[in-house]
Amino acid sequence: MKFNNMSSVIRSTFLVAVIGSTGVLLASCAGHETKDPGVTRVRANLTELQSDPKLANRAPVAMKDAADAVSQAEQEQKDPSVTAHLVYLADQKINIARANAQTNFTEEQRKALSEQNSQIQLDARTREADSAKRANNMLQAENDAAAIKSSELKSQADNANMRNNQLQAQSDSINQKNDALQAQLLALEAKKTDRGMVLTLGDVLFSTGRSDLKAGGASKLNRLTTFLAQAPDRTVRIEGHTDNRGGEALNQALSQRRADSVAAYLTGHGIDAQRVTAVGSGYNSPIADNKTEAGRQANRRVEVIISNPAVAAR
Amino acid sequence: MKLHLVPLRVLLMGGVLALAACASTPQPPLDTLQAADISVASAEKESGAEFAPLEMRTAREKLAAAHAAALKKDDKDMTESRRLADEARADADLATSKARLGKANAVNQELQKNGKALRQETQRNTGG
Repeated sequence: MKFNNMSSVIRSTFLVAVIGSTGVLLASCAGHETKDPGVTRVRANLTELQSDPKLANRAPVAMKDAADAVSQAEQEQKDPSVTAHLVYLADQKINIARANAQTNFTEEQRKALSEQNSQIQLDARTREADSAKRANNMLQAENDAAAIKSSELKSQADNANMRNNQLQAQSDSINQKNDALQAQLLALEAKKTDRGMVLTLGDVLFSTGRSDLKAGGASKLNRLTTFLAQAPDRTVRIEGHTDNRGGEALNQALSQRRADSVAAYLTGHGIDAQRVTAVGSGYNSPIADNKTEAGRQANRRVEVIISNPAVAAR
Repeated sequence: MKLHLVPLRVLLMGGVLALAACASTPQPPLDTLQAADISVASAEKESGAEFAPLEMRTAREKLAAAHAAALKKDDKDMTESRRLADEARADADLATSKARLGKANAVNQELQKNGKALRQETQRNTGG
């Protein structure tokens, strides 16, 4: 019983307290509108989304819908189920706005990603092109070096050709000169023999028994001198010959003197004495019969044997 | 006189019946239901079930309930139908938005993967 009394006292006190506080609550409701916790939450969510710098301006239409929905939810309703419904709608619209803004942000990032990838590809291609270029440059340099080498070889070959041509020209001119000398020799009535070219100076040079040159023979000797001056590689052997009148010793001495006389003329006109040999052959080498005056005249002679050029002799 | 009273009585009775019919059959929220139908259909087209299965399910359930409520006769049912349709539409729209975001993220991840692969490849090429 005692216990029962106690509990009834407590219960009645509690009842009074509850009624009192309800009264206070009702009074506060009347004072200003009570915020439904759902309403407070959606407003907070909206504010958070609106102040997110990454998302705030990315889905303007959905954002406005969400803001409108939140405002509607905040309207005072007689029926709390209407508020619950409006809070639900506001919640979903905020979520839609957030998702749309994130999609927009993602798509914007995609552009940057695509550009990055393109840049990577571009860089790779540029590097490939550069290395190809370097390889090409190396090849080009090698080619250039080869071309230089080749042109060096070519110019060497050209030089060799030029040298050959010069030698050919020299040889040609030597040949021409030889031909000219040959012609001069022919003009001197020289004859080709085994011993070389033989020029026979007739007895017109000398009077009988004498060895001094007659004035009339000078022109023939002058031509010989000119020829020898132009052909310094040739030597001459001068042979004196007589007819068979008079003794052998006399004719031998006479033929020697006549040969010496011709040699002296040549050396006297600038021909090196080393190139000139004078020999007396007496009457031992006749070219005609000594029994007739014409034959003896033919035998009285001086022969000038001109050596073939050193080159030709070899 | 008798002839005059009969049509008047008929008219009165008809008027009462018409008023009674009006009061007992409120208009179902056809526009709202149609809008919700369209939103749910387009969310399904956007693969909402794959990217936002929860939103998709509640959208379908609420849409079905909205249609069911619209078939009833009570004014209160029509209000319920409208609310359910509005919520179904919001759920479906959210499913659509989430599906688009999911797809966009997938594309970006693919791009990032490609970029990483490209970078590795080019580093290998230039390194080697």
